[in-house]
Amino acid sequence: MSAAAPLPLSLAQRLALAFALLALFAAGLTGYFAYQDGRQALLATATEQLATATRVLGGRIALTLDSVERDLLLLARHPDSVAALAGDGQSREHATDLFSRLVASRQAYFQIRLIAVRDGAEVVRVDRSASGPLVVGGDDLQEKAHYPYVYETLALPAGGMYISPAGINHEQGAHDAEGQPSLQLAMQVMSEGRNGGRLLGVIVINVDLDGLFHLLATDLPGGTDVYLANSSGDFLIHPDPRQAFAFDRGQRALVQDAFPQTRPLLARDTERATFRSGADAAGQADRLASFVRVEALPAAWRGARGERGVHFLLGLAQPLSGVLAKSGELAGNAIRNVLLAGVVAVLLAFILARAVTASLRQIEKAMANFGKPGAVELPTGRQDEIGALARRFAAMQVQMRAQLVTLEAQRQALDHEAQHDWLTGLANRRNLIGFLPQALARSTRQQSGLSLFFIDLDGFKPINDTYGHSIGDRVLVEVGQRLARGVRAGDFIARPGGDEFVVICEGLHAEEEVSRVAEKLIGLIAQPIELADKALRLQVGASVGIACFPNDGSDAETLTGAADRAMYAAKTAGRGVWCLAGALGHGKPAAAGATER
Amino acid sequence: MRRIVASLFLIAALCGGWPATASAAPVLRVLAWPGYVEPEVAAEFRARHGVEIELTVVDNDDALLEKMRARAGGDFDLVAANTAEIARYAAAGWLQPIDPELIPTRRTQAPRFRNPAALPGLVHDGRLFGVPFTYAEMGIIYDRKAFPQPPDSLSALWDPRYQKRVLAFNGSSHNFSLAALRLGLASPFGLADKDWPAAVDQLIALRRNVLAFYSQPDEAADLFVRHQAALLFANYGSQQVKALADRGVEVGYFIPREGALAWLDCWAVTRGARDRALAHAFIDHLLGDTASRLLEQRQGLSSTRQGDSIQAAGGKPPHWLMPVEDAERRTRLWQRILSGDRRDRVLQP
Repeated sequence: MSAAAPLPLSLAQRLALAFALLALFAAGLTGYFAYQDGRQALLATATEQLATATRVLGGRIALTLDSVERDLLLLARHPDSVAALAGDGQSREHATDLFSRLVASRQAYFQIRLIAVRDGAEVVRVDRSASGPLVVGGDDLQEKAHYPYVYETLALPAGGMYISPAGINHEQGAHDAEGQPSLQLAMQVMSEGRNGGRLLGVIVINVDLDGLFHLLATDLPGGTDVYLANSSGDFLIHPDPRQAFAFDRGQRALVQDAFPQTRPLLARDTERATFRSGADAAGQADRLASFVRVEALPAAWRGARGERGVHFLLGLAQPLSGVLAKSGELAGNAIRNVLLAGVVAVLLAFILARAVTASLRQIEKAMANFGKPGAVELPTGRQDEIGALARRFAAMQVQMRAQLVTLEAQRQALDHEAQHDWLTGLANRRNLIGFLPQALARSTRQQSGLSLFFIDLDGFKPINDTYGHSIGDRVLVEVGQRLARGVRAGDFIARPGGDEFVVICEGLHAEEEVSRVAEKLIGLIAQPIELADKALRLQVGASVGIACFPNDGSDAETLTGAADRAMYAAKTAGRGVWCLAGALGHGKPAAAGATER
Repeated sequence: MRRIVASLFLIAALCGGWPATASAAPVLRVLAWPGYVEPEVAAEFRARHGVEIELTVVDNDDALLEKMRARAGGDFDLVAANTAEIARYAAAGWLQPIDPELIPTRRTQAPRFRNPAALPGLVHDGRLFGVPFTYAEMGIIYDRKAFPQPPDSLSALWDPRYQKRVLAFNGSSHNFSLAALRLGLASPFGLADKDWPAAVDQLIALRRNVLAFYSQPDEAADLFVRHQAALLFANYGSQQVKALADRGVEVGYFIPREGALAWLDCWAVTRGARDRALAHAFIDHLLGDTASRLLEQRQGLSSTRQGDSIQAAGGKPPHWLMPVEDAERRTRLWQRILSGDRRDRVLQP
């Protein structure tokens, strides 16, 4: 047997193993699906939350831009603005004061300026600086007519508001705004007049784009990335600073390239999109991302004879690992439950397997003990397949027992037939051959005598010839019965064949006893036989040869031979006599033992 | 048991996940001007050499200089610049010499572009540093409907009749050269100390007369159309004539009688080039059929296959761009002018 051959497993072990594996598999499967469902639910919740956060943030941006518009409108119509542009010194100071307060209170404002249409020069200007609002005046005021927020605003219809594209501010001397992402909102300032007034200049608010977003995005959960793109898809805000305002550096970094799912938003086909973003080449892991289109300032112009309103693409992204942090816990729970269920399943499986196989073993034991004393109880009371098997087996047991009894009877009959003469019921030759050595051994052991009487009927053949075999047979039967009556209960009588009989008497020692028996037998046989139904009265005689143990021989063959010879001697001496074999060897006349007849 | 192992494995796989591996295809970093490397040209090169093109587009020499100076040319493999800038970069050691043998397509160029000796600025210490690519003179575009008589002078840009209908270019060096031409100085590229205040005055006057200073050809065309401009200083030359014609504007183009600036842009291999052979192959590719055809048909620029499309005004040859007396100063002062400063502030040291 090779070492790799599996150990034979018992049925119970195999059943238990199969049950346990099945249970473990079921538990594993359940655990797996529970984990999956939990994970899906987590994802769905996170997706919903992210989408909501994005929508809320988008709404805030629109609201904030709307509030800039309101400030702009207020300043454009403010009498001090109008008067300052008209050259009033006092108003200029008032306007400066007003602008300073606004810059101080509005964290997302870089600059507020009043620019005259006459020469494009700044009239009032307040910049945000590290030390707070900074009033710029005198020679520091610049001419700005060639900047879009002036020439585009002036080219708008009366009262029009302009919004610039988001860009990096390259104007020198702009203090905090210099080199920063910003956008300008500007509006015409008109003199008051019956017919709509005269165009005096523009009011410009320079908005700090990064400041605006940091302000709005402060309450986002940690690890959330904020993206903002303009209507062409150029990133304005990106966690990687190299991607933001790439166009300002002569490159392109587009939201539709980084997140292809945002294309429909840029095409204005949809309002929002939430999706899972796969790992990208920049090494960003799987993320959950949500984008909305932010529409703001519907009245603002993007340029003379240009489009109105602005739209941005705002996106939030969270690493999926963060979203699914709780799914680790879920997996832990699932595994623990699977293990627990597994242990219980294994225990149950063993108990179940034992319950099944215990009954089987009971049946097996009953089979092993079949026919032996001490019946084994069978589980016949069970109402299942094993109960049916036990009942079937019990019935089979009863049936087999009955058949065995019959067989035994038949065997005994056959045995008897083999050992007895069918006609007289006496022992036959085979029986005699078997019996004699045993009787001799017994006598040897007990040191007692044994006498063998060999009886041959006289005058039987003429009866047979005259009256037929049936009458002969009846004579033989009668002789057998008489012999049985003539000997002791334990003595052995046989009919080895034809008209010969043998009687063996154990325990006879004296010659007188032997001769008495012989004479008695001869006498019994010689009595006439009445066959009433045939109206016959028949008579046969008997010649008896006697051999005695141990004197005439100590083994069966010698003894039988001696009796045979003694019988012939008796026949020769005249019928109806007996002859002792012991007498033959001493030259005594054959009739020495004969009766007086 | 296998099934259990499989499902456990499945769970484990779902918990973890494989780290994404980024592929690292070689990248050729190209610093160029709008329209020089069209998408088809990049795609063709990518298909042929399996190399990604990372394109950075600049729209004025100041921005170009800033990018080259940032890491002494270390951020790029190739740069496109005019002859004056090439000379400047070569002197600064930001370029690697060109091996003409590695650019077989040079033989399709007009003879004048193949003779380095005739191209001042491209040879430094006896070594070639630039391969000519395209060229143009900086003429002036005008709206035919606004001018009963076609203008012929630079002074049209300063003409108050066209105030807020003039578009000029946002570039420090060219604008000072333009002011020098307007002032009738001997060389537009060498301002003497005494010339600076006058030049600044010219440029402030120009600032007060223009609608805007543009950077990109498309931007200029858009402004020209939306604001019904009358005059446009064509820094990009014929490229802008085509851009406006494509928008259906009826424009004229003239070389001012004061003379015109002309530029010849060349390709150069920067100090940061990691694969010199690849960089040369890219230059060779840019001299090829696709790039030349797109340059002429889509951008309206001249390729170096023909050498005779420069207009001359009144028999005067164009002023091919040359290194200027003090590029730094031009830049510094121009930034102040552009930001709206007045004369005294601009002229502060």
